[in-house]
Amino acid sequence: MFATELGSVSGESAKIYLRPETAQGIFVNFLNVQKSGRMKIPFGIAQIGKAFRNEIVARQFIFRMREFEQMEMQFFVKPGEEMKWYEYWKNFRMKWHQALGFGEKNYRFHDHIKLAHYANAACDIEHEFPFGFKELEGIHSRTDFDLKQHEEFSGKKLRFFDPETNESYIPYVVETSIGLDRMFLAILSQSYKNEKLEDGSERVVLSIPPALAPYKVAVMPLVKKDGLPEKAREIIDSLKLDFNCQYDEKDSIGKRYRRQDAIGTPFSVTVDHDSLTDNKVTIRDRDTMKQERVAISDLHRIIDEKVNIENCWCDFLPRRHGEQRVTQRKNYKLQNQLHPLRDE
Amino acid sequence: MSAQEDKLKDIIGHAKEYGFVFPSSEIYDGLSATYDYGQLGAELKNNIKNYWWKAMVHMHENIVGIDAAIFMHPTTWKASGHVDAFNDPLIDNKDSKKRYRADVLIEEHIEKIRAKTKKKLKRDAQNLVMLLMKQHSEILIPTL
Repeated sequence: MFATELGSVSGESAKIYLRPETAQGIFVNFLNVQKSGRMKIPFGIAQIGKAFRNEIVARQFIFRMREFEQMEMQFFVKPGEEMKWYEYWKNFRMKWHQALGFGEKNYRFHDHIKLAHYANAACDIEHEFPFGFKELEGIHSRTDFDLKQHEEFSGKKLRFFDPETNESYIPYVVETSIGLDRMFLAILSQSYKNEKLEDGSERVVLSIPPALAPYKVAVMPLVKKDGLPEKAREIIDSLKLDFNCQYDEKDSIGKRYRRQDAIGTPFSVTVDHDSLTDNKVTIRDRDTMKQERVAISDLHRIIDEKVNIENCWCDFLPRRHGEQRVTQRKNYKLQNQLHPLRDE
Repeated sequence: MSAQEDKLKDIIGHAKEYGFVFPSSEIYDGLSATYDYGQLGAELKNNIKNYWWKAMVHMHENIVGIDAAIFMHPTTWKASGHVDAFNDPLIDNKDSKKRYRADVLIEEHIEKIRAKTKKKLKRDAQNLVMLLMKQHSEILIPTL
Protein backbone atom coordinates (compact mmCIF):
# COMPACT_ATOMS: atom_id res chain seq x y z
CA MET A 1 0.00 0.00 0.00
CA PHE A 2 1.01 3.60 -0.58
CA ALA A 3 1.48 5.45 2.69
CA THR A 4 1.91 9.08 3.54
CA GLU A 5 1.77 11.19 6.69
CA LEU A 6 -1.16 13.09 8.03
CA GLY A 7 -0.59 16.74 8.97
CA SER A 8 2.77 17.91 10.22
CA VAL A 9 3.45 15.24 12.82
CA SER A 10 5.68 12.50 11.55
CA GLY A 11 6.00 9.04 12.96
CA GLU A 12 4.05 5.81 12.97
CA SER A 13 0.93 7.28 14.56
CA ALA A 14 0.36 9.79 11.76
CA LYS A 15 0.80 7.21 8.97
CA ILE A 16 -2.10 7.14 6.58
CA TYR A 17 -2.73 5.09 3.42
CA LEU A 18 -4.07 5.70 -0.04
CA ARG A 19 -6.89 3.14 -0.29
CA PRO A 20 -5.94 -0.03 -2.21
CA GLU A 21 -9.63 -0.74 -2.96
CA THR A 22 -12.83 1.28 -2.83
CA ALA A 23 -14.80 -1.53 -1.17
CA GLN A 24 -13.85 -0.60 2.41
CA GLY A 25 -15.42 2.85 2.01
CA ILE A 26 -18.67 1.05 1.38
CA PHE A 27 -18.36 -1.42 4.26
CA VAL A 28 -17.67 1.25 6.87
CA ASN A 29 -20.69 3.21 5.61
CA PHE A 30 -22.98 0.18 5.50
CA LEU A 31 -25.04 1.25 8.51
CA ASN A 32 -25.05 4.97 7.59
CA VAL A 33 -26.54 4.22 4.20
CA GLN A 34 -28.92 1.53 5.46
CA LYS A 35 -30.35 3.80 8.17
CA SER A 36 -30.39 7.14 6.32
CA GLY A 37 -31.72 5.57 3.12
CA ARG A 38 -34.14 3.24 4.96
CA MET A 39 -32.74 0.38 2.89
CA LYS A 40 -34.07 -3.12 3.25
CA ILE A 41 -32.05 -6.22 2.53
CA PRO A 42 -31.28 -7.15 -0.19
CA PHE A 43 -29.73 -3.84 -1.25
CA GLY A 44 -26.55 -2.56 -2.81
CA ILE A 45 -24.12 0.33 -2.48
CA ALA A 46 -22.17 1.38 -5.55
CA GLN A 47 -19.13 3.55 -5.93
CA ILE A 48 -16.69 4.78 -8.57
CA GLY A 49 -13.32 5.98 -7.38
CA LYS A 50 -9.56 5.88 -7.49
CA ALA A 51 -7.50 3.27 -5.70
CA PHE A 52 -3.74 2.81 -5.42
CA ARG A 53 -1.52 -0.27 -5.34
CA ASN A 54 2.24 -0.28 -5.32
CA GLU A 55 2.52 -2.93 -8.03
CA ILE A 56 5.97 -4.40 -8.48
CA VAL A 57 5.38 -4.95 -12.14
CA ALA A 58 3.11 -2.32 -13.65
CA ARG A 59 2.76 -2.57 -17.41
CA GLN A 60 0.67 -3.15 -20.51
CA PHE A 61 -0.35 0.45 -21.03
CA ILE A 62 -3.31 1.38 -18.82
CA PHE A 63 -4.06 -2.27 -17.98
CA ARG A 64 -2.04 -2.32 -14.75
CA MET A 65 -1.28 1.02 -13.17
CA ARG A 66 -0.37 2.00 -9.64
CA GLU A 67 -3.11 4.60 -9.65
CA PHE A 68 -6.33 3.26 -11.09
CA GLU A 69 -10.08 3.64 -10.95
CA GLN A 70 -12.61 1.05 -9.81
CA MET A 71 -16.34 0.73 -10.26
CA GLU A 72 -17.58 -1.43 -7.41
CA MET A 73 -20.90 -2.50 -6.02
CA GLN A 74 -21.40 -4.34 -2.76
CA PHE A 75 -24.72 -6.15 -2.53
CA PHE A 76 -25.89 -7.02 1.00
CA VAL A 77 -27.98 -10.16 1.28
CA LYS A 78 -29.42 -12.51 3.86
CA PRO A 79 -26.96 -15.28 4.82
CA GLY A 80 -27.79 -18.39 2.84
CA GLU A 81 -29.06 -16.43 -0.17
CA GLU A 82 -25.62 -15.36 -1.37
CA MET A 83 -25.24 -18.01 -4.05
CA LYS A 84 -28.51 -17.00 -5.71
CA TRP A 85 -27.31 -13.40 -5.87
CA TYR A 86 -23.83 -14.43 -6.94
CA GLU A 87 -25.38 -16.14 -9.95
CA TYR A 88 -27.64 -13.15 -10.60
CA TRP A 89 -24.74 -10.69 -10.65
CA LYS A 90 -22.53 -13.00 -12.71
CA ASN A 91 -25.25 -13.12 -15.31
CA PHE A 92 -26.11 -9.42 -15.14
CA ARG A 93 -22.53 -8.22 -15.40
CA MET A 94 -21.80 -10.48 -18.36
CA LYS A 95 -24.84 -9.07 -20.16
CA TRP A 96 -23.72 -5.52 -19.39
CA HIS A 97 -20.48 -6.25 -21.21
CA GLN A 98 -22.01 -8.12 -24.12
CA ALA A 99 -24.61 -5.41 -24.67
CA LEU A 100 -21.83 -3.24 -26.08
CA GLY A 101 -21.88 -5.47 -29.14
CA PHE A 102 -18.23 -6.46 -29.38
CA GLY A 103 -19.17 -10.11 -29.70
CA GLU A 104 -19.69 -12.82 -27.10
CA LYS A 105 -16.50 -14.66 -28.00
CA ASN A 106 -14.43 -11.83 -26.51
CA TYR A 107 -15.65 -12.53 -22.99
CA ARG A 108 -15.43 -15.56 -20.75
CA PHE A 109 -15.83 -16.53 -17.11
CA HIS A 110 -12.88 -17.74 -15.15
CA ASP A 111 -13.94 -19.42 -11.90
CA HIS A 112 -11.45 -19.13 -9.06
CA ILE A 113 -10.35 -22.50 -7.77
CA LYS A 114 -8.07 -21.05 -5.12
CA LEU A 115 -10.33 -18.72 -3.15
CA ALA A 116 -9.20 -15.74 -1.10
CA HIS A 117 -9.69 -16.23 2.62
CA TYR A 118 -12.80 -14.02 2.66
CA ALA A 119 -14.65 -15.60 -0.27
CA ASN A 120 -16.86 -18.64 -0.68
CA ALA A 121 -17.22 -18.20 -4.44
CA ALA A 122 -15.43 -15.98 -6.94
CA CYS A 123 -14.95 -15.57 -10.66
CA ASP A 124 -13.51 -13.15 -13.17
CA ILE A 125 -15.01 -11.91 -16.37
CA GLU A 126 -12.09 -12.10 -18.75
CA HIS A 127 -11.83 -10.10 -21.93
CA GLU A 128 -9.65 -10.71 -24.94
CA PHE A 129 -7.20 -7.80 -24.91
CA PRO A 130 -4.51 -7.39 -27.59
CA PHE A 131 -2.23 -9.36 -25.22
CA GLY A 132 -4.71 -12.18 -24.63
CA PHE A 133 -7.57 -13.02 -22.26
CA LYS A 134 -7.14 -11.05 -19.04
CA GLU A 135 -9.26 -10.14 -16.04
CA LEU A 136 -11.61 -7.23 -16.64
CA GLU A 137 -14.02 -7.65 -13.74
CA GLY A 138 -14.40 -9.77 -10.63
CA ILE A 139 -17.53 -11.07 -8.99
CA HIS A 140 -16.98 -12.29 -5.44
CA SER A 141 -19.15 -13.75 -2.74
CA ARG A 142 -17.34 -12.26 0.28
CA THR A 143 -19.50 -13.81 3.02
CA ASP A 144 -19.77 -11.71 6.19
CA PHE A 145 -15.99 -11.42 6.47
CA ASP A 146 -15.68 -7.65 5.99
CA LEU A 147 -18.55 -6.51 8.20
CA LYS A 148 -17.52 -9.01 10.89
CA GLN A 149 -13.96 -7.71 10.83
CA HIS A 150 -15.13 -4.10 11.13
CA GLU A 151 -17.41 -5.06 14.02
CA GLU A 152 -14.45 -6.57 15.79
CA PHE A 153 -12.01 -3.71 15.17
CA SER A 154 -14.45 -0.84 15.69
CA GLY A 155 -16.46 -2.34 18.52
CA LYS A 156 -19.65 -1.17 16.77
CA LYS A 157 -22.46 -3.46 15.73
CA LEU A 158 -22.87 -3.63 11.95
CA ARG A 159 -26.10 -5.59 11.71
CA PHE A 160 -29.36 -5.46 9.88
CA PHE A 161 -32.56 -5.79 11.86
CA ASP A 162 -35.14 -7.68 9.86
CA PRO A 163 -38.57 -6.35 10.94
CA GLU A 164 -40.35 -9.35 9.42
CA THR A 165 -38.55 -12.02 11.39
CA ASN A 166 -37.55 -9.79 14.33
CA GLU A 167 -33.95 -10.90 14.18
CA SER A 168 -30.76 -9.05 13.41
CA TYR A 169 -27.85 -10.46 11.52
CA ILE A 170 -24.61 -9.55 9.76
CA PRO A 171 -25.46 -9.58 6.04
CA TYR A 172 -23.46 -11.50 3.47
CA VAL A 173 -21.90 -9.55 0.63
CA VAL A 174 -21.77 -10.26 -3.10
CA GLU A 175 -19.48 -7.83 -4.86
CA THR A 176 -18.94 -6.79 -8.46
CA SER A 177 -15.69 -4.96 -9.09
CA ILE A 178 -14.54 -3.70 -12.47
CA GLY A 179 -11.43 -1.77 -13.44
CA LEU A 180 -12.48 1.40 -15.24
CA ASP A 181 -9.10 1.82 -16.95
CA ARG A 182 -9.26 -1.80 -18.15
CA MET A 183 -12.77 -1.22 -19.45
CA PHE A 184 -11.44 1.84 -21.27
CA LEU A 185 -8.65 -0.23 -22.84
CA ALA A 186 -11.10 -2.99 -23.76
CA ILE A 187 -13.32 -0.52 -25.63
CA LEU A 188 -10.41 1.22 -27.30
CA SER A 189 -8.80 -1.99 -28.50
CA GLN A 190 -12.07 -3.56 -29.68
CA SER A 191 -13.03 -0.38 -31.53
CA TYR A 192 -9.72 0.27 -33.26
CA LYS A 193 -9.84 -0.88 -36.86
CA ASN A 194 -7.69 -0.36 -39.89
CA GLU A 195 -10.09 -0.80 -42.78
CA LYS A 196 -9.39 -1.31 -46.50
CA LEU A 197 -11.99 0.54 -48.52
CA GLU A 198 -13.45 -0.42 -51.88
CA ASP A 199 -11.48 2.26 -53.71
CA GLY A 200 -8.26 0.78 -52.34
CA SER A 201 -7.63 3.47 -49.77
CA GLU A 202 -7.43 2.82 -46.03
CA ARG A 203 -9.09 4.39 -43.06
CA VAL A 204 -8.57 4.10 -39.32
CA VAL A 205 -11.89 4.01 -37.55
CA LEU A 206 -12.83 3.75 -33.88
CA SER A 207 -16.17 1.99 -33.90
CA ILE A 208 -16.91 2.94 -30.31
CA PRO A 209 -20.49 2.06 -29.28
CA PRO A 210 -22.32 5.34 -30.13
CA ALA A 211 -23.60 5.81 -26.58
CA LEU A 212 -19.98 5.91 -25.33
CA ALA A 213 -18.38 7.96 -28.13
CA PRO A 214 -16.67 11.18 -26.95
CA TYR A 215 -18.40 13.29 -29.63
CA LYS A 216 -21.80 12.29 -30.94
CA VAL A 217 -21.80 14.54 -33.96
CA ALA A 218 -19.43 16.78 -35.90
CA VAL A 219 -20.95 19.70 -37.76
CA MET A 220 -18.92 21.11 -40.64
CA PRO A 221 -19.52 23.88 -43.14
CA LEU A 222 -18.53 22.87 -46.69
CA VAL A 223 -16.57 26.13 -47.03
CA LYS A 224 -15.43 28.77 -44.57
CA LYS A 225 -17.58 31.54 -46.08
CA ASP A 226 -20.99 32.52 -47.51
CA GLY A 227 -22.69 32.22 -44.11
CA LEU A 228 -22.12 28.44 -43.90
CA PRO A 229 -20.06 28.59 -40.65
CA GLU A 230 -22.85 30.61 -39.03
CA LYS A 231 -25.45 28.06 -40.14
CA ALA A 232 -23.28 25.23 -38.78
CA ARG A 233 -22.95 26.98 -35.41
CA GLU A 234 -26.69 27.49 -35.32
CA ILE A 235 -27.17 23.72 -35.71
CA ILE A 236 -24.62 23.03 -32.98
CA ASP A 237 -26.45 25.40 -30.64
CA SER A 238 -29.65 23.46 -31.17
CA LEU A 239 -27.94 20.13 -30.35
CA LYS A 240 -25.23 20.80 -27.80
CA LEU A 241 -27.40 20.62 -24.70
CA ASP A 242 -28.13 16.95 -25.43
CA PHE A 243 -25.12 15.82 -27.46
CA ASN A 244 -21.44 16.59 -27.32
CA CYS A 245 -20.80 18.30 -30.68
CA GLN A 246 -17.65 19.25 -32.51
CA TYR A 247 -17.28 22.09 -35.01
CA ASP A 248 -14.70 21.57 -37.74
CA GLU A 249 -13.95 23.77 -40.77
CA LYS A 250 -10.32 22.90 -41.39
CA ASP A 251 -9.15 20.86 -44.43
CA SER A 252 -11.22 19.15 -47.11
CA ILE A 253 -14.48 17.39 -46.24
CA GLY A 254 -12.87 14.02 -46.96
CA LYS A 255 -10.07 14.70 -44.48
CA ARG A 256 -12.54 15.93 -41.91
CA TYR A 257 -14.56 12.70 -42.25
CA ARG A 258 -11.38 10.64 -41.73
CA ARG A 259 -10.59 12.61 -38.61
CA GLN A 260 -14.04 12.00 -37.16
CA ASP A 261 -13.71 8.26 -38.02
CA ALA A 262 -10.42 8.20 -36.15
CA ILE A 263 -11.96 9.60 -32.98
CA GLY A 264 -15.13 7.52 -33.22
CA THR A 265 -17.76 10.22 -33.86
CA PRO A 266 -20.92 8.35 -34.99
CA PHE A 267 -22.26 11.19 -37.19
CA SER A 268 -20.86 13.94 -39.36
CA VAL A 269 -23.18 16.66 -40.63
CA THR A 270 -22.18 18.83 -43.59
CA VAL A 271 -23.72 22.22 -44.23
CA ASP A 272 -23.64 23.36 -47.89
CA HIS A 273 -25.04 26.29 -49.87
CA ASP A 274 -28.41 24.61 -50.39
CA SER A 275 -28.76 24.23 -46.62
CA LEU A 276 -29.28 27.98 -46.37
CA THR A 277 -32.47 27.78 -48.42
CA ASP A 278 -33.87 24.23 -48.00
CA ASN A 279 -32.80 23.74 -44.36
CA LYS A 280 -31.43 20.31 -45.17
CA VAL A 281 -27.99 18.89 -44.49
CA THR A 282 -25.97 15.81 -45.39
CA ILE A 283 -25.54 13.36 -42.53
CA ARG A 284 -22.87 10.69 -42.77
CA ASP A 285 -22.76 7.49 -40.74
CA ARG A 286 -19.34 6.54 -39.31
CA ASP A 287 -19.79 2.78 -39.71
CA THR A 288 -21.53 2.49 -43.10
CA MET A 289 -20.04 5.75 -44.50
CA LYS A 290 -23.44 6.22 -46.17
CA GLN A 291 -24.61 9.80 -46.65
CA GLU A 292 -28.15 10.99 -46.55
CA ARG A 293 -29.84 14.35 -47.05
CA VAL A 294 -32.12 15.12 -44.09
CA ALA A 295 -34.02 18.08 -42.65
CA ILE A 296 -32.17 19.99 -39.92
CA SER A 297 -35.26 19.61 -37.75
CA ASP A 298 -34.86 15.79 -37.90
CA LEU A 299 -31.23 15.77 -36.74
CA HIS A 300 -32.03 15.58 -33.04
CA ARG A 301 -34.23 12.50 -33.46
CA ILE A 302 -31.82 10.72 -35.83
CA ILE A 303 -28.85 11.24 -33.53
CA ASP A 304 -30.78 10.37 -30.38
CA GLU A 305 -32.00 7.08 -31.84
CA LYS A 306 -28.43 5.93 -32.34
CA VAL A 307 -26.53 7.36 -29.39
CA ASN A 308 -29.07 6.91 -26.61
CA ILE A 309 -27.66 4.80 -23.83
CA GLU A 310 -30.88 2.80 -23.88
CA ASN A 311 -29.57 1.12 -27.01
CA CYS A 312 -26.95 -0.63 -24.95
CA TRP A 313 -29.34 -2.32 -22.58
CA CYS A 314 -32.48 -2.61 -24.62
CA ASP A 315 -32.76 -6.30 -23.88
CA PHE A 316 -31.82 -6.51 -20.24
CA LEU A 317 -33.28 -3.42 -18.61
CA PRO A 318 -36.60 -1.59 -18.92
CA ARG A 319 -37.08 0.83 -21.80
CA ARG A 320 -38.80 4.14 -22.26
CA HIS A 321 -40.31 3.53 -25.64
CA GLY A 322 -41.39 -0.07 -25.35
CA GLU A 323 -40.77 -2.77 -27.88
CA GLN A 324 -40.70 -0.82 -31.13
CA ARG A 325 -37.22 0.53 -30.45
CA VAL A 326 -35.87 -2.95 -29.98
CA THR A 327 -36.55 -4.08 -33.51
CA GLN A 328 -34.12 -1.48 -34.83
CA ARG A 329 -31.33 -2.75 -32.67
CA LYS A 330 -30.50 -6.19 -33.96
CA ASN A 331 -26.82 -5.63 -33.21
CA TYR A 332 -27.50 -5.34 -29.56
CA LYS A 333 -29.88 -8.27 -29.34
CA LEU A 334 -29.09 -10.51 -26.45
CA GLN A 335 -30.04 -14.10 -26.17
CA ASN A 336 -31.67 -14.29 -22.80
CA GLN A 337 -34.10 -11.93 -21.23
CA LEU A 338 -33.02 -10.92 -17.76
CA HIS A 339 -35.51 -9.35 -15.45
CA PRO A 340 -34.67 -6.36 -13.30
CA LEU A 341 -34.21 -6.82 -9.61
CA ARG A 342 -37.65 -5.76 -8.51
CA ASP A 343 -39.16 -8.80 -10.20
CA GLU A 344 -37.23 -11.12 -7.93
CA MET B 1 2.63 -12.62 -30.54
CA SER B 2 4.41 -9.83 -32.36
CA ALA B 3 1.25 -8.98 -34.32
CA GLN B 4 -0.50 -8.55 -30.98
CA GLU B 5 2.29 -6.36 -29.67
CA ASP B 6 2.05 -4.30 -32.85
CA LYS B 7 -1.67 -3.86 -32.34
CA LEU B 8 -1.15 -2.62 -28.78
CA LYS B 9 1.55 -0.26 -30.03
CA ASP B 10 -0.80 1.07 -32.72
CA ILE B 11 -3.52 1.64 -30.14
CA ILE B 12 -1.15 3.45 -27.76
CA GLY B 13 0.05 5.65 -30.63
CA HIS B 14 -3.47 6.37 -31.80
CA ALA B 15 -4.62 7.16 -28.25
CA LYS B 16 -1.83 9.70 -27.92
CA GLU B 17 -2.19 11.23 -31.38
CA TYR B 18 -5.89 12.01 -30.96
CA GLY B 19 -5.97 12.99 -27.29
CA PHE B 20 -7.31 9.88 -25.56
CA VAL B 21 -4.34 8.91 -23.38
CA PHE B 22 -0.99 10.67 -22.82
CA PRO B 23 2.04 9.42 -20.92
CA SER B 24 2.06 11.22 -17.56
CA SER B 25 4.36 14.25 -17.18
CA GLU B 26 5.76 13.62 -20.63
CA ILE B 27 7.87 16.81 -20.73
CA TYR B 28 9.94 15.21 -17.94
CA ASP B 29 10.19 11.95 -19.94
CA GLY B 30 7.12 10.48 -18.25
CA LEU B 31 6.60 8.45 -15.12
CA SER B 32 6.55 4.68 -15.52
CA ALA B 33 3.11 3.04 -15.74
CA THR B 34 1.33 6.35 -15.20
CA TYR B 35 -0.93 7.91 -17.80
CA ASP B 36 -3.15 10.94 -18.20
CA TYR B 37 -6.51 10.87 -19.92
CA GLY B 38 -6.69 13.57 -22.58
CA GLN B 39 -9.63 15.58 -23.84
CA LEU B 40 -11.28 12.68 -25.67
CA GLY B 41 -10.22 10.10 -23.09
CA ALA B 42 -11.93 12.04 -20.32
CA GLU B 43 -15.16 12.09 -22.33
CA LEU B 44 -15.01 8.38 -23.11
CA LYS B 45 -14.21 7.56 -19.49
CA ASN B 46 -17.12 9.65 -18.24
CA ASN B 47 -19.44 7.90 -20.68
CA ILE B 48 -18.29 4.48 -19.44
CA LYS B 49 -18.89 5.57 -15.85
CA ASN B 50 -22.32 6.83 -16.82
CA TYR B 51 -23.21 3.55 -18.56
CA TRP B 52 -22.19 1.64 -15.44
CA TRP B 53 -23.85 4.01 -12.96
CA LYS B 54 -27.12 4.03 -14.90
CA ALA B 55 -27.24 0.25 -15.28
CA MET B 56 -26.23 -0.45 -11.67
CA VAL B 57 -27.69 2.41 -9.62
CA HIS B 58 -30.47 4.14 -11.53
CA MET B 59 -31.98 1.00 -13.02
CA HIS B 60 -32.04 -0.83 -9.69
CA GLU B 61 -34.40 0.54 -7.07
CA ASN B 62 -32.49 -1.09 -4.27
CA ILE B 63 -29.00 0.15 -5.15
CA VAL B 64 -27.66 3.56 -4.17
CA GLY B 65 -24.32 5.18 -4.92
CA ILE B 66 -21.83 6.90 -2.63
CA ASP B 67 -18.49 8.65 -3.02
CA ALA B 68 -16.21 7.90 -0.08
CA ALA B 69 -12.85 9.52 0.68
CA ILE B 70 -9.59 7.98 -0.48
CA PHE B 71 -8.12 8.41 3.01
CA MET B 72 -9.58 6.19 5.71
CA HIS B 73 -8.89 5.61 9.38
CA PRO B 74 -5.74 3.44 9.50
CA THR B 75 -7.54 0.75 11.54
CA THR B 76 -9.73 0.13 8.47
CA TRP B 77 -6.77 -1.55 6.82
CA LYS B 78 -6.09 -3.72 9.85
CA ALA B 79 -9.69 -4.91 9.78
CA SER B 80 -9.61 -5.51 6.02
CA GLY B 81 -6.39 -7.48 6.36
CA HIS B 82 -4.33 -5.19 4.15
CA VAL B 83 -2.00 -4.24 7.01
CA ASP B 84 -0.29 -6.97 9.07
CA ALA B 85 -2.29 -9.89 7.76
CA PHE B 86 -1.92 -10.46 4.04
CA ASN B 87 0.68 -7.95 3.10
CA ASP B 88 2.84 -9.62 0.48
CA PRO B 89 6.28 -10.06 2.04
CA LEU B 90 8.92 -8.61 -0.28
CA ILE B 91 12.57 -9.48 -0.64
CA ASP B 92 15.18 -7.24 -2.30
CA ASN B 93 18.18 -8.63 -4.09
CA LYS B 94 20.73 -5.92 -3.39
CA ASP B 95 23.08 -7.05 -6.15
CA SER B 96 20.59 -7.14 -9.01
CA LYS B 97 18.35 -4.44 -7.49
CA LYS B 98 15.39 -6.67 -8.22
CA ARG B 99 12.45 -7.10 -5.87
CA TYR B 100 10.68 -10.41 -5.35
CA ARG B 101 7.63 -11.63 -3.49
CA ALA B 102 8.88 -14.03 -0.83
CA ASP B 103 5.82 -16.28 -1.03
CA VAL B 104 6.23 -16.61 -4.80
CA LEU B 105 9.93 -17.46 -4.42
CA ILE B 106 9.10 -20.16 -1.87
CA GLU B 107 6.31 -21.58 -4.02
CA GLU B 108 8.59 -21.69 -7.06
CA HIS B 109 11.27 -23.42 -5.05
CA ILE B 110 8.83 -26.02 -3.75
CA GLU B 111 7.69 -26.60 -7.31
CA LYS B 112 11.32 -27.14 -8.38
CA ILE B 113 11.91 -29.67 -5.60
CA ARG B 114 8.66 -31.38 -6.46
CA ALA B 115 9.64 -31.65 -10.13
CA LYS B 116 13.05 -32.98 -9.17
CA THR B 117 11.56 -35.61 -6.85
CA LYS B 118 9.10 -36.62 -9.52
CA LYS B 119 11.93 -37.09 -12.02
CA LYS B 120 13.90 -39.10 -9.51
CA LEU B 121 10.89 -41.30 -8.69
CA LYS B 122 10.33 -41.94 -12.35
CA ARG B 123 13.98 -42.87 -12.82
CA ASP B 124 13.88 -45.22 -9.86
CA ALA B 125 10.75 -46.87 -11.17
CA GLN B 126 12.31 -47.31 -14.59
CA ASN B 127 15.44 -48.80 -13.07
CA LEU B 128 13.33 -51.18 -11.05
CA VAL B 129 11.45 -52.26 -14.17
CA MET B 130 14.70 -52.82 -16.02
CA LEU B 131 16.00 -54.88 -13.15
CA LEU B 132 12.84 -56.98 -13.01
CA MET B 133 12.93 -57.50 -16.76
CA LYS B 134 16.51 -58.71 -16.54
CA GLN B 135 15.62 -61.10 -13.74
CA HIS B 136 12.40 -62.38 -15.31
CA SER B 137 13.03 -61.94 -19.00
CA GLU B 138 10.19 -64.35 -19.76
CA ILE B 139 7.57 -61.96 -18.27
CA LEU B 140 6.48 -59.05 -20.42
CA ILE B 141 6.38 -55.90 -18.39
CA PRO B 142 4.97 -52.76 -19.97
CA THR B 143 7.48 -49.93 -20.00
CA LEU B 144 6.63 -46.79 -18.08
